[in-house]
Amino acid sequence: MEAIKLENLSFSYNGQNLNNGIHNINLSVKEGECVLLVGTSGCGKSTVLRAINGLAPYFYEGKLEGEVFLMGKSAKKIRFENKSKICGSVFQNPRSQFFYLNTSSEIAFGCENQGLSQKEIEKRVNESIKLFRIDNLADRDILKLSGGEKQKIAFAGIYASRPDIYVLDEPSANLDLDAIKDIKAIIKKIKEEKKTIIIAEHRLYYLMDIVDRILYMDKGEIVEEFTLDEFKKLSSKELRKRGLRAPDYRMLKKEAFNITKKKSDFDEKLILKDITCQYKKSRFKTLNIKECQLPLHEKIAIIGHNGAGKSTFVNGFCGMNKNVKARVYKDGKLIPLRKRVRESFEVFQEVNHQLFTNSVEEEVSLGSEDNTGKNKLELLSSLGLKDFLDTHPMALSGGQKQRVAIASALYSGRRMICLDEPTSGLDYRQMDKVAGLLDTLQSKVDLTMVITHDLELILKTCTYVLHIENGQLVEEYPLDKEGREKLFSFFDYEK
Amino acid sequence: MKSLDSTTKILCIIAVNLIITFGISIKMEFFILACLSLLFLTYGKIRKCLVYILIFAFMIFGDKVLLHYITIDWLVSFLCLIFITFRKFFFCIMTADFFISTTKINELIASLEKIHIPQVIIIPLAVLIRFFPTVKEEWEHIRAAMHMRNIGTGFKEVVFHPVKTIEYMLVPLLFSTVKIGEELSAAALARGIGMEKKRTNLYKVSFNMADYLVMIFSLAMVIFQKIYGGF
Repeated sequence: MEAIKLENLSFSYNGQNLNNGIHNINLSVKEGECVLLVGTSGCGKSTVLRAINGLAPYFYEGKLEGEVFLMGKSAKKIRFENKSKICGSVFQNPRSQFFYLNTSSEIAFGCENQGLSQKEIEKRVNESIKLFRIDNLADRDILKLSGGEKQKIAFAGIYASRPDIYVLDEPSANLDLDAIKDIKAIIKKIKEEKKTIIIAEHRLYYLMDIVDRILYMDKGEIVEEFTLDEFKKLSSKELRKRGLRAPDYRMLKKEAFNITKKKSDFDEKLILKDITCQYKKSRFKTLNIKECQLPLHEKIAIIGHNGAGKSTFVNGFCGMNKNVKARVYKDGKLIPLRKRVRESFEVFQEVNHQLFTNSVEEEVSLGSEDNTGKNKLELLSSLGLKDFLDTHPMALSGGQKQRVAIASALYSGRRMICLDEPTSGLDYRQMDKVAGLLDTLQSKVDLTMVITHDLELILKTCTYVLHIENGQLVEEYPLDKEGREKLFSFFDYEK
Repeated sequence: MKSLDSTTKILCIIAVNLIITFGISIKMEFFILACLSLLFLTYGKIRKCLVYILIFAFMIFGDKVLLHYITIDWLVSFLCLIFITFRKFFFCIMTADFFISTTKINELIASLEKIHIPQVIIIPLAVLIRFFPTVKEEWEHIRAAMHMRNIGTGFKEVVFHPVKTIEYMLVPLLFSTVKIGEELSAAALARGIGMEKKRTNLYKVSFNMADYLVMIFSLAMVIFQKIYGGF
C-alpha cells in the first residue's frame, strides 16, 4: 500500500512569504520506503513535509490544492489533531520542539495526548529509551541537554506515539558529527521496523545507506528523481550545479587543491600561552593549552568534537568568558586583555541575537558613534549590503544578517573576527557565499577564526587548522597536502 | 515534604492579589512577606527568599527613613515611585515567581484538568509558563551579544539611556522569542496537543493536608482583610 500519496498538490502561503510554496507535486511513497528530499533553501522541501503532516494549512496558513492521502485515506477526512497518530514529525531546531522540561515526561507527551492508559504509556516510554539506548538521558532536565541529546529525545517521543509515517525536517541541521552519527543510528532502527520515512535535508552523507530514493526539488517543484545508485554516481560538479552538498567526503579528496603553504611561511602570528579555564565548582580544567599559535591574515578553522572546548577557547580569546585565562603575544610583546577585548569580535551561531536596531545603516553605526561617515558605504558595498541600507536587519536572510553583524564589527575597528558555526544548516550555494565572506575578511582584518564542523567549508577556504579535544590542543597544522590528510582522517565518519 | 498542588498555588496568587487590592497596612505587609518566605523556604529556595527579603527591607528603609531626608522635588517623586508604588506590586511578583519556579508544566496541566478547567485555557497557560525558561535562555545569549557590541546593560546605561537600552534589549528578544514560540506551537500541534479525547496524565494529582491548610489559611486571610481590615 502507498503510505503517502500526493496528487497535483500545490500550496501557497498567505502573506509575504510567497516564494516558498509548491506547485503540482505528484509523489507516492510505499510503506516502509525511505525518501529523501533535497534542494537549496526555499525550494519547498519543508512545505511538502508540512502538507503531509498537516501543519500546512492548519498552522501555516495558505491555500492548498490537490490531494494528500495518508495510509490510503484522504487527509481531508482526517481531523488535524488525529494526524499526529499517523505522522510523527521531528523538526530542525532542538531548542524549540519541547513542551515539557523533563525528558521522560516529554517522551510521554504524544501518548498522553492520545489518551492511552498510564500503564501503556510507561511501557512505550521504556521501550523508546531502550531501543534508542538513551538510558542516560531518562528523567533529566531538557534545558541542560546538548542539541544532539535533545534531538534524540524528540525521536524517542515520536517513536513512543507509534506513527506509521516519520516526517523529518532537517533533523541534523544544528548538530555536530557525533550527534549526527547517533541520529543516523536512530533513523536506521526506525527503517528496520518497516516504517515509512520522508526526510528533507542539506547534509546528505549520513543518509546514504538509509534512503531508497532521492527527489531533487527546485522552485517548488520536483524536477528530478534518483535511485540511490544513480545519485551516488553524480559528480561533484553536477551536485554543485544543483546547490547540493557532497554526499561522501571521499569525493572531496579527489578534488584539485592548490594551497602549498608550510608552517614556516606563517611569519606573522599571535602566540597564545597558558590558556586555561576552570570553573569555580569544578575540579578539572575545562581548557588547558600550554601554547598554540594563530597565524595572522590566514583563515583558521577550529575543529574538535562536541564539548571539546572550542567555544570556550574562542569566548576566552574574545574576553567573553571571564574564567578563561590566557596570555597573547604579538612579536614577543604581550597584548593586554583590554586591547584584545576591544579589537576582537565574535559572530554567534544564532545571529538574530546580535542585531538591535531598525535599519542596516543604524546597526552598523551602533556602538561606534564617533566615526561618523567614515567609509561606511564602501564597507557595506564590499560586503554586498549596499542595497539594504534602510532595510530592517531582521527582514534580511540569514547570510545577510551574518554580514551585517560583521560589518558592524569592522566599522567599530575590530581586527580579530571569530565565527561560530557560520554554515550550519546551509546548502552548498549559501556555504559558498560564507566562504567568499571569509575571503573578504582575510584582507580586511588581522585574524579570522571559524569554529566549524563543515568539511566542505574548510576545504573551500581555510588555510590553517587548530584541533582541540578534551580542552587540550591535539594538533595545529597548515592545510598543505599533509594537513589535508589529517583533516580527512578527522572527518572520516566511518571510523 | 510533599509539595503543594498547582491549584493551591494559584489560589495563593489570587489571595495575595485580592488582599493587596483591599489596601493593606505595613504590619500586614510584613505578615504576607513572612508567609511567602515560609513557602519559599519549604521548597528550599533560601537564596531567592533572602533576595526578596532584602529588596523589601530596602524599600521599607527608603520609604520610612530616606524619604524624610530628601528635599529635591523630582527625586522625591522618583523615589516614591520605587519605594511605595513598586512595593504594591512586590508581592504579586514574589508569589508569581514562587508559582513559576516551583511548578512543573505536567503538574499544572494535571491539576487544572482535575478541577475541570477547559483545554482552551489550559493549553495557552501551559505554553506561557513553558516560555519563561526559554526567554531566560535567550536573554543570556542576547546579553552576551550586547556585551560584544559594547551596548551596555549596566547600571549607568539603564539610568541615563533607559529607552534606548530597553529597545536594544527588546528588539532581538522579541524576534527570537516570536520565532521560538511559533516553532514550539507547531511542534506541540504536530504531536497532537488538544486532541478531543480525554488526555492521560502520567502525573497523578492528589490534595493533601498541606494543600487544605494553605487554602483555608489564604481564604481566611482574604476575609480577615476585607471584613476586619487586617492587622
